[in-house]
Parts: sequence; C-alpha cells; structure tokens
Amino acid sequence: MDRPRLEAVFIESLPLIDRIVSSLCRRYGFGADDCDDFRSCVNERLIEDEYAVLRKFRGEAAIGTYLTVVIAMILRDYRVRRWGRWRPSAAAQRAGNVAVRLESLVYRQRFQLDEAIRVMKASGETTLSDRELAAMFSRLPRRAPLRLVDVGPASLTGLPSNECADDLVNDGVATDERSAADHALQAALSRLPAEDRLVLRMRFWEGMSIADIARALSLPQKPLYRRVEHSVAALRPLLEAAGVSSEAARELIESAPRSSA
Amino acid sequence: MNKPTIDAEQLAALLDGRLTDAERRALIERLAESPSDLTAFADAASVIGELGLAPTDATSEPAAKSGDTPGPIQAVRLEPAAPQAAISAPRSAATTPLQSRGRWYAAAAAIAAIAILPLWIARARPRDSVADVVALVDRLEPGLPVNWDGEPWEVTRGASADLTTAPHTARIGARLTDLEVAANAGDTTAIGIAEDIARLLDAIPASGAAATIYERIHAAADARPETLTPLVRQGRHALAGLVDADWLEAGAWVEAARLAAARHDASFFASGTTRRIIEHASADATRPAVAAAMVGVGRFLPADARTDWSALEAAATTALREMARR
Repeated sequence: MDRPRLEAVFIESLPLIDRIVSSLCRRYGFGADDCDDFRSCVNERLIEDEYAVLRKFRGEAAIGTYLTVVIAMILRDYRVRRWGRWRPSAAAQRAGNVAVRLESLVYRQRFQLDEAIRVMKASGETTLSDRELAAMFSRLPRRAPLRLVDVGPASLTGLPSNECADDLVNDGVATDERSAADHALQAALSRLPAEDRLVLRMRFWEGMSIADIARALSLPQKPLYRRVEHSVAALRPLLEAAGVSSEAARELIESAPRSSA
Repeated sequence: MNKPTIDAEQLAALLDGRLTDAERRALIERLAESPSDLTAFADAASVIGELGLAPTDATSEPAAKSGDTPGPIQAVRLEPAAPQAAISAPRSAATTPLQSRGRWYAAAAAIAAIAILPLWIARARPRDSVADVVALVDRLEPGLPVNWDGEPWEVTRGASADLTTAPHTARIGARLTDLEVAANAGDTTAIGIAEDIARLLDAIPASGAAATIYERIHAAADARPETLTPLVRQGRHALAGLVDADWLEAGAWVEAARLAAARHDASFFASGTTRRIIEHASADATRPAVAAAMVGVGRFLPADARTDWSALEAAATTALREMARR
C-alpha cells in the first residue's frame, strides 16, 4: 500500500475532518479545550498504524460519509474514556446545542448555573439572556452526579447534593421504579419491527428530528410522522399492561441518557 | 460478552443509501439492538445533515483479484473535486434503498476524486407550512373577539404532552392563528398566547430555538405590531421542518375558520386554500372523526349572507376539538 498517497489523502481531508470534529463538539457541548483535545485524538487515530483507517476504506460509501462515521465512533470511545457514561440527555439534545452545552457545564463539569451562563456568554456561545438560559435549564431533567473519572480542581462547596437521608432513600425508591419501568419499556420496544424500533430510538433517545431520521435511513419524510405516532400508539397498551403510564415512559426517555458503551 | 462493533463503512453505506435490501435489513436489525453503534450512527447522521454532505456518484469497476490492484483510496486523484450539492431535502419516495443496488467500489482507478472540497452548507429553506393560511388570516379583522376561547379542546392540568404529535401539532397551529390575529391588532393577549405556544413546543424535539422566539414574544415590552410581527414571522419559519406541515396548517386553518365565522367573513370560506384544506381533511381515513367534522364544516359552504354563522362557528369548533383530541 502506498503510504505517501494515503498521507496526501489525509492532508487533503483535513478541512472536512475539522468540520466534522467541530460539529460533533457542538453536539456534545464541548468547550474549546475539550474540542482541541478531541481533534488531536482524531488526527492521531487516523494517522496511527500507517493510516490504517484510510487503508481499510473499500469504496462502498462516500469517503466523506465514511470519515464522518469513523470520527463519530472515535468520539464514542473518547467520551467513555474521559467521562464514563456521560452523554447529554435526550431532552437537551432536542432543545439544541445551547442546552447541551449548559447541561454539560452544570452536570459534567460541576459549574453552578450562574457560572455556567457566564462561561457561555464570555465565550460567545450564546446571545440568549440569563433569563432565557435559566428557563431553558429548568426544563432539563435533573441528572445524577457523575462518577469521578477526571476530577478537576473545582471546590466541593456549593455543589448540588441531597440534603438529608430521606432524600437518599426516596432517590433509591425512585431509581427502583425507574428501573422497572425501563425494563417494561425495553420489552415493549422489542415487540416492534426492527425499523420501527430504530426510528423510535433515533427520535426519542437520540433526539433526532424526523427530517434527519428520514435522511439517515433513506425513508420518505412525510409518512414518518404518522409512522412514529402509530409505533407509539402500539407501545401504549404494552406499557399499560406492564403498569407503566405514558407519563412515566416519557420521563424515562427524556431524563435517562442511554449507555454509549 | 459484547457484540462486535458494526463496521464503520457499512454504517456509512447505509447513510448513503448504498446497501442492498437484504444488507439494509440486516444492518437495521443490528443497529436496533446496539445502543452504542446507534449513538455513533445518529451522531454521524446529524453531522451529515448539518454539513450538507451528499454521497458522491463516483462509480468504479469491480476490484480485480490481484493484490497489486490499487485500492479505492490510492486511486483517488488529489485535485479538488467539483463542489458537492448539499443534501437539502429528504429523498423522495421514488429513491429508496429498495431501488439502490449495492455497487462494489473495491478497486481502483474509477473513483475520480475525493468529493470533499469545498463543502457547502447550503440547506434549502424549509417550506413555510402555514403561509397560505397566514395570507387568509391577515385578511381577517385584526384582534381576537372579547372572551375568545382559543383552546376549546380538552385540557388536563399538569399533564405533560402525549408522545403523539398530530393533535399536539394541530393545537400549535391553532394558537399560531390566534397569535397572528392578536399581534396584528397590537393586542396584549398575544403575549400570553406566545407563552402557550412555547409550552406546547416542550414536547417537540429540537424545538429549543423556536421556543426561544416565542418566549421572547412573551417577554416583549409591548404588543405593538411593529414589535411583535417580525418575531411572529421568525417563529413560523423556525417551526418549519419541526412538525408535520399538514397538521400545523390544518390546526391554523380551522382556528381561522372559527374566527371568520365569528366575524361573518364569507370571503374566507370562498378561498382556494379553504377548499383545499377541507377536501384534504375530509378524505383523511387515518382520523375519521376529524374527517367527519370537516365534512360538517364543508356543508355550510359556500358561505353568504344567509349562512347560519353560529352553526358554522360551532362546526369549526367541533373540527378543532377533534383535531386536538389525544
């Protein structure tokens, strides 16, 4: 295999790689430093083993699409390595990049809300007012604390925490109920055809728009709205039979980030 | 034991619509069972949508068996390719994975260039899904009638939105009409209506940007048309592509019909838009109650001086209730 040619392709691909990395960083609410670090990681992975990633390309897809998928997979591994199972909630992803960033600053990086807002405004990431950002944050689900993978120098004072033992007990009970509801939801989903299951997961767990799902799966967009409605309607009796209300199912979907590993 | 990760190029081929039917089915089965791979796939799909990447139409001859045959990367010419057309709209129903055959690009010289430079992020502007109805609404008498009930549907206090979207979208459409009519008159009720719309948008994925516009209307210092009208217009454009256009338009129209009936406005019911929407909704077999209610509205047309306007308003209210019923 011709290494100089692979290297030339890599160099020519750098503008695309940069755009893909930037887009993914926005999607996950990365700050500038994290984004730079991830970009370096991507370049290292693409170069390693004599451009093995590019050498493996078989031409069964467009090279741009291939690189996008490869980099998305690199990101998946990067996130797990750096932050364990952290990922934005589906609710934040549906609300857009600003919400994702806000959620990440508060729950992953442990900023207080007002500090997070200051960080975002200082870096020019948003032109929304403090009130609008606070209102946006109030609509996001409350998240459990991360496991400590990469502890920064932030002070422990002022961090949100449970106030008393009763809260811990109540949280434990709520967790058991959520777990049972989650099992029921997964069992109900497994009864749907694979493509319907996939569409629902992309819509409600990954926070994708109908237009993006239609494009990704090469499906006509307009009928997809009704198809989602019918799939959800098909879930309802299965959930009710298992004792899960649609309200509980909705809360599960919006607040529980799915495993990325 | 973890299942092996799905091959990146297979996922890319799925995104490009280049798999055979059998390959596509098999891959979708795997994706549906693999949250980890699905996340990467969804991320890639979102990036492709944002950047407007499009699959190339590069073709190649099938790979020769010789190990000396250059692979697809090596055969690439390195001079810049023609700009790619951005993906601006979902593929039509005529172009489906069922029709695309799997083509083998394994060898060589046939790939002409890497279609990377330069990228366009040229999205087509989504259709303004209620433009026709807005044109009708603008001709209505500005301002809502006194004590107007803009939400004649069943409201369950404290309940969050159901996951179904058609009734929800129809409610949003109806409130959009109320907002337009109130804003056209500088009516301060527009501010409260905007808050209702922002709340309804909570259940719509990726609607954060649109909701923010309605929150801005809600927070506006005054209700003068010159203050609100630009924001109202921005809000409509922000909704395009987020919700089902047909249901948004239907909800907007039927609320406008209620207002037109309340104002004895015969010209509203003579428009081509009215005829189109009634015909379409009356024939919708997926929601027979809505269809029946719209047939009921259609019975009053053509509207003139002899029309029983109260009955027409009641029929339109029934149609809106059925559209908004969960």
